[in-house]
Amino acid sequence: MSENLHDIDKLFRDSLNGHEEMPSNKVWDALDNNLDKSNVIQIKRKYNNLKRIAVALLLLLMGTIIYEIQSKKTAKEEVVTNNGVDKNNGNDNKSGGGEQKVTTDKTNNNNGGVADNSNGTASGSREINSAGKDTATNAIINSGKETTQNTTAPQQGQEGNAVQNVDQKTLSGLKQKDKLKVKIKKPGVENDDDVANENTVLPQGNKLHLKKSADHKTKISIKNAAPTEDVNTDKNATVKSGTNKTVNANGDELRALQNEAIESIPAVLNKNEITTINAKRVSPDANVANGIAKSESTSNAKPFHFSVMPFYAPQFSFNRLEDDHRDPGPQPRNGREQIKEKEPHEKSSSFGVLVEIPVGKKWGLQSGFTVLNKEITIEPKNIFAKLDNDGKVKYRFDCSSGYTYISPKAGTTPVVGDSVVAVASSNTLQYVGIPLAVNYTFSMGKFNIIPAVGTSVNFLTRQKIETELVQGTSKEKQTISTIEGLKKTYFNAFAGIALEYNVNKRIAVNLTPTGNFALSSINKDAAVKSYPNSFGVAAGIKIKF
Amino acid sequence: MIAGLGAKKIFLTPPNHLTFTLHLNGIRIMQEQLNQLIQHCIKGERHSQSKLYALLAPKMFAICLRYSKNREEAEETLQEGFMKVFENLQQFKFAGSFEGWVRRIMVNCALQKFRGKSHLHAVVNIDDVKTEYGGTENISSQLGTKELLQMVQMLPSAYRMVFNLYVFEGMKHREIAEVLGISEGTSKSNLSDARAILKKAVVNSAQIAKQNTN
Repeated sequence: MSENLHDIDKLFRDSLNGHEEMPSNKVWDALDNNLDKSNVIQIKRKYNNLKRIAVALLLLLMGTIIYEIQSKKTAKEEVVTNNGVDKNNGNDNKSGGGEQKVTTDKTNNNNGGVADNSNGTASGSREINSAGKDTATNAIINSGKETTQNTTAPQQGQEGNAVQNVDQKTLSGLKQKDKLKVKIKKPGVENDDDVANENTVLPQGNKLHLKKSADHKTKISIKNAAPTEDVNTDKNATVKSGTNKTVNANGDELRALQNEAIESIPAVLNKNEITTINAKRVSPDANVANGIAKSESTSNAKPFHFSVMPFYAPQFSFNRLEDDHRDPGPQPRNGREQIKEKEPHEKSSSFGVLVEIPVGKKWGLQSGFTVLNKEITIEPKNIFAKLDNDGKVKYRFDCSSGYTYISPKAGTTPVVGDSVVAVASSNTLQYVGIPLAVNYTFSMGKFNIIPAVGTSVNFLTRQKIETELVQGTSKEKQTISTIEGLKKTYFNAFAGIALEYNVNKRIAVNLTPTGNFALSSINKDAAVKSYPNSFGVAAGIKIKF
Repeated sequence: MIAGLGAKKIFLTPPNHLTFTLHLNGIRIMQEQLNQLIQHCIKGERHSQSKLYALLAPKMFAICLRYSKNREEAEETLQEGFMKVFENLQQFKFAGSFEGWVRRIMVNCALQKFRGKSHLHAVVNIDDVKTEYGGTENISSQLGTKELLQMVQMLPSAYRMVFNLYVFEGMKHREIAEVLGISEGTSKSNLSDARAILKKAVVNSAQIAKQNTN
């Protein structure tokens, strides 16, 4: 009977094995059509990587554009303010006054009890009657208390006759309020009111603040009729004249005048102070520049230049599995389901350092590096001997990451179809990722809520399968460090909302629930395609610089 | 044992790149020429694809016919199989038999088709099957290949799958059980039933043929 059974197998095998039959033409027609469609899909797939790069570049470009817009906005504001000054200059120059004003504050400086123009000198716009004869020397002196000084001196042969008055009352008033105003008059000026050079010194800080605040006004006026010579720390200062000519003045000469003026300041300032003042003398331009820089940083309201945040994030992760139809090997029924069933536990965590660069007041760009560690526990299962890629018979171990062929060191060489039990198996993966994200900050007192969205490219750095093979009574541990089918990189997108508590100006504690979604699979040509997704909470400390 | 060797022949045919010759559809083609043809197909040249199809289709269609209950189903399987072949041609590493590789794809397609359907288990009363079967020599001469093919196609799909995998692909019951998601015992039982049905069919056909000749 048994012989007969084999005979029936043989009968069919012999008859049908070499059998050939031509299918109908419609099969090729349908194939032809489908291949056209497939070509379109393949072309789409071909450019998938390019698309991903394009998205990353787009994000980067967007960030840069936002940054540029914010920067230009700020710069524009400053230019507008300064343009107002230039216009004033132009007007004054046109009227023959030759006065140069650098005004960054439109508010009246009679604030905070500042005794401005106590001698009745108008603090607003002024008439200058010394056209053609005067050279205004404007020196802004930056001392520990912030002192600004104006010196007005005659230009042609009048230096020696310069009368320099310091308004004692003003000075004392300023001193009381930590402000100082020095006004120096010169002969030939019709009245005190016409002396227009004045500076208001800021009450606090060491620098000149050019801010639209009543308390923080700085006004620098240089009055002259002839081509203006500006006292500058540079030997040759360049100042626009009333006729829009650029004149290179000899700084030494002007500095001499300035020194003279300083020396004439009576006991209001002691000698040491004057020395300090003199030593720390800064050109108006420099001060204005400083002011602009300061103003820029304050008006832009960038909370910090950049921040660094080391973090650690335990994650709850899971793989989305898809059947890989590219793998031509005969697959067990429901391979995806089986792998899913055998890999219920997955431990993963990530750590790294994120650097954030603020772009404007609210927006920020985030990048850095992350290290993701994953360990997947695989439940005991039977693995079967198959031909490996080199034509040798080995046990094939399939998992969600890929597959590997295992050859037991002990025991007999397996034949196709033999099986062993793989117990206590685990699959370990490590990726180093480079994220790029855009975030937006909602500030609420000491708390910030920062939603962020971005993408990351992840590079495989470690791969391992550990298993114990049980064959009869013998047990054998195997560690495989190369998993077939595993790709070197994969992309993922992430979104999260950070809750941040500012401990102080520099340090903030950050807690970020984040969801990660794989954009591409981590493997190909394996039993299944795996798309790792995860949800985790990153805890970190942000240090702002 | 013979089945096991058969499996090796199907899946593991060792290639000899220099001397290996394919006989496809009566066309003799050298391995080197075939490799060139494959390369052209990878580039997406439709002419080469059609040539490759013409070379392999008859043989593959015969396989599909064995796994299907009728010609239409076989053509569907063949079409799907060839689509996969062309889509994944770049995965072929030129390290084994190309024909074997294509054949595996066809078998997988047939299995996928089988898995995708809900199956009604055939109830076969084995007692009804009477075997008066002595040998194959006379019968094979009396029965044509097409008749035998039809017999296989007539089998319930689960039986047909097990019979094909065991007899033609050389798989063991353990592997069949794994591939079809059934128990090893079911696989053995299905094979036994399939054989019984086929035997009966063969005997009946042989008797009819004998009567006709008389």
